[in-house]
Amino acid sequence: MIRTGEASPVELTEFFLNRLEKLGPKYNAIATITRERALKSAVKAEKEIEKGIYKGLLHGVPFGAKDLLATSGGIPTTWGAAPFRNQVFDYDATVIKKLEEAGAILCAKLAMIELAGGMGYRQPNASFTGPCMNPWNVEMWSGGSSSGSGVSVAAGLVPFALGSETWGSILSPANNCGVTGLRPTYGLVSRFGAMPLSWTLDKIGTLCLTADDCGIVLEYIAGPDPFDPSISRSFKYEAPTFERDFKLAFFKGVLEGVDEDVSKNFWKALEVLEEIATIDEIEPPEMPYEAITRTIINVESASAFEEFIDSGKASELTAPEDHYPYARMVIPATEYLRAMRLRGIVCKAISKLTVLYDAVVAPSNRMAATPIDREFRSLFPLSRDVMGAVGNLAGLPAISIPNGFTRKNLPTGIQFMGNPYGENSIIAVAKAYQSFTDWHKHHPPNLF
Amino acid sequence: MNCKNKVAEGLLDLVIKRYSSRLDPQGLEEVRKGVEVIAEAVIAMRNMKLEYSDEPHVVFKPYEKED
Repeated sequence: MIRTGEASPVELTEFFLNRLEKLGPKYNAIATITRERALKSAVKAEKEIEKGIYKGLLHGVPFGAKDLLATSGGIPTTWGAAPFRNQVFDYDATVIKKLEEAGAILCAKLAMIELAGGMGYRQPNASFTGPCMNPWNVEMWSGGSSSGSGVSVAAGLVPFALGSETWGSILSPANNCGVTGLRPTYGLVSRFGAMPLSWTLDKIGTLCLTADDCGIVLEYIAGPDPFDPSISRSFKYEAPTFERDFKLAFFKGVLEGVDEDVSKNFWKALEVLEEIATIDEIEPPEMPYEAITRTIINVESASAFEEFIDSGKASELTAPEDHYPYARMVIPATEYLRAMRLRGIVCKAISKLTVLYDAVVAPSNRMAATPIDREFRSLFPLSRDVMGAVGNLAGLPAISIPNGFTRKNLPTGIQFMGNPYGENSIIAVAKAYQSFTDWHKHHPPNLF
Repeated sequence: MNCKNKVAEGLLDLVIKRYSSRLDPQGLEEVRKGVEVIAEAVIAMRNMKLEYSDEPHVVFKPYEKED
């Protein structure tokens, strides 16, 4: 519609800016609304399209970005943290630059958990913008750390948003807010200009309404960047059709410690998927996946934030438990290297197990959204997160899509984890599921 | 302050030596929880056998200036 002139980028941008301004604060979803920059980009896009210069599917389309992505022009990049609330950069993160070059329009920097949760938060109230409320029920949490990104897509404040994941930060808000979230393979999307939490685990991804949208956005943000040496290849979205039988698997014990409603919706989703896929149960070797992943994050974040931690400014963070990130500062180097040596073993073992499959399937999270005023870790203290630990440790892509609701009318999600650079396969499975179901077409109440 | 094991106790001693001026009772309790989680991870990792040939999963590349 934008290409044919039926929709105006300027009108579209005004529409979403108004929604961001009106509804964003209601959910604590916004860090900064970039009205001036957005309208300037929208006018430019409109003129280009009028002249017949059409850059592609994102030309003239508004978006939001998690506030850990650097933006130039005096727009703050707060990292969700009070001590950084006035931080500005004189450059744009590569993903922002790529999207703007494609004609997309940055409308807002979106709220996030302070320092992407890297200081060990245990509660939703861990951002200087306040706890991010879930549009499905404002007494529940949005998930994090890409909190504002999940909320803004769910509430129709932006058509799509950028988020990031080190361990769970895209899949968690996608699950809680009932949207589609894509965590790309490590090394597919440039991290340049993103707050570093863990150099070997951080990934930039997307939150959208559909799997198809995630594929489209990914094609624009992926690819080589001279400022990020970890990027090894580009991505071409194949917009797949479903004319083949998929091969899926789930890990033995995948539902141990998982909420009853989440389990029920997972089995129902498998029944749908059985129409288009074979589904096997597989058993990952017993390894300390979470311990390895946690050790790497702890040490890399300790190094990335050493100056900040040593300055004592952690005491200015919002969540009290984030005031004391000192334990990670004394982990011996040998333990980090042990974790990195074990990481290689894990990568090979998991690859051997999953290479025969298009995706490994699991609930996106053990539970739906938790109360906004409760410590979320205390609600399921003993359950494991093998999928999250393995997927992030091995740098594997995953997509989370809505697959139903709990008895309290909160969305639940199902995730498809792929092989390295297997984004087209997992998007194909997710897209197939979304063609047979309408969970992604449900929207929260009271959005106007 | 008691920890669950000697690994955690050793780590806690190091934190106290380095950051004692920042640690009120609440801070000390948070750090104790933190070192215990780290110690559990360390012990779990040490239970997994490594061979001499198991290198860290990172590749060092000498820097070559691009043309």
